[in-house]
Amino acid sequence: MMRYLRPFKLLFIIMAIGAVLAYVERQRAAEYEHLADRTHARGHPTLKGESLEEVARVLLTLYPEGAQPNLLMGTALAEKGQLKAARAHLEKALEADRHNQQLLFLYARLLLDMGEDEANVQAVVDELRRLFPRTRQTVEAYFTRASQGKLRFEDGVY
Amino acid sequence: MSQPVNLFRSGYIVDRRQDCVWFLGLPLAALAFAFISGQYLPGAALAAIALWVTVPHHFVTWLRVYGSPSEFTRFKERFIWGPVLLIGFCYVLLHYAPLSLVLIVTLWDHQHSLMQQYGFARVYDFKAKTGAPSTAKFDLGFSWIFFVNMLVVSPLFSTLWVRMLHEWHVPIGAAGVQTVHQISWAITIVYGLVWLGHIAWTLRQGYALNPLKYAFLGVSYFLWYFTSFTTEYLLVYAVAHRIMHGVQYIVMVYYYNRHKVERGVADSTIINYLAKPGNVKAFLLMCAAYALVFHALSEGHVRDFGFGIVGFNTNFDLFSYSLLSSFALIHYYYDAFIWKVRKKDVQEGL
Repeated sequence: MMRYLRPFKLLFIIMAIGAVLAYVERQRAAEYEHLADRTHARGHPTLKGESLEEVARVLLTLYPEGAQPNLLMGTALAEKGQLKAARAHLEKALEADRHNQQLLFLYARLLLDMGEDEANVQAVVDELRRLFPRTRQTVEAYFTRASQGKLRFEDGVY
Repeated sequence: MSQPVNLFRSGYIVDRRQDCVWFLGLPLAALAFAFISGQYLPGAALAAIALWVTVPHHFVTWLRVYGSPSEFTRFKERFIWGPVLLIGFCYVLLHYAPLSLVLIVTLWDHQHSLMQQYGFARVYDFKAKTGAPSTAKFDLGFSWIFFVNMLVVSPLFSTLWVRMLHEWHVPIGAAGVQTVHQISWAITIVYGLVWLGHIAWTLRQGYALNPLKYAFLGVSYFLWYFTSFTTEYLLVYAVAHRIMHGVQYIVMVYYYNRHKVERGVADSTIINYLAKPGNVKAFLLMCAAYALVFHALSEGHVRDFGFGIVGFNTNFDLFSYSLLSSFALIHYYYDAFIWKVRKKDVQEGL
């Protein structure tokens, strides 16, 4: 029996590590409630609330001009309803990286919530549609709904 | 070893021309392509790289282990049960503890990447019959320390691991991160000097060096360090890395099979066919066909073959998504034991 199982040693080690990590992950998520549930099958749990703001603060101290730190802080502030402060961070993030799907999406949504001119929102959404063609239809449906029909998208036109 | 010998002796993985293209030139070309992609191509470009490079490089592993009866027999139990266990493992983790799966796949991917370059460096020494008996250990130390340092200190990866620690509720502060950076740099610099000292010692002992190995390690680490320090855009790193890693792997396996055929030690009809010099196109077409099939599987498109009876629930979405991780893990798992430069049967194909 042991002779048969010996070749699988590495596999069993990996699976044991996975089991321990899974236990810790579930235990921590239940205890601290710091993760937001995934929204679809291909999504992953992400930080929320205080935990999100905390990691953003740490990363902003290290990389104040970085896209990710500013995106995380922008997300945390937007969650808290501090839209003006969130916008400043998201715009800083956009200066460093204009290819981030999550960033462009959040920025467009924020502009919409702040009552920004429709042409400005449309420009960001069009950028999102152009850079991420795979999710174009979902994005169009979302922003048509969110803008109560004010934003319109023609097929293939950005 | 007291007799004077040449200090440098070149040996190639394939030959002079192929090595210059695939092992020395490709990383620089990949770097240039990645930066152009980051500037001009949409985010979906990464998915295309994954489809045309990463997925086919998994396929050549399957071709090697399942296409050759002798190879398959050597590790039969692992080749049968490995996929079953890993697919189940990934699905369960993705379902119940997705962050654990991300962590395992990420760490194993990094280990796999650094070990590939280390393995190719070993092949350079094997081909040129260079280096001291202790060189393998020192090169292994170099690979681990320099790669881990890149992950620890670069802005691109620091952002990722700090975020991951917070997701695991290990809230490290900015001062803590800076201390980790300093320790990592100190270890790397000290080890770098030890490694250089060992090279000098190797020469003094009369062992020759293969300059191509050092050029190869140089361009590989240049690609990793340059991308992770100069861009915040993960796509740039991923595109450059995946092109280098995937294409070099495909080239390595192609020539490994071809050498086995040329030396009369190949026992597989399909490998005999694909390894013939005129059949490169057939080999590439098979890689592409596999990529398309895998894409259909992992994207859940196979549900269209299910007559509307199977595949229409969230679990199927999750399962098809988990295949991305499980096939990657199977590839890492196999590579952990099928490539041992010291093994006679592996040497037959080098």
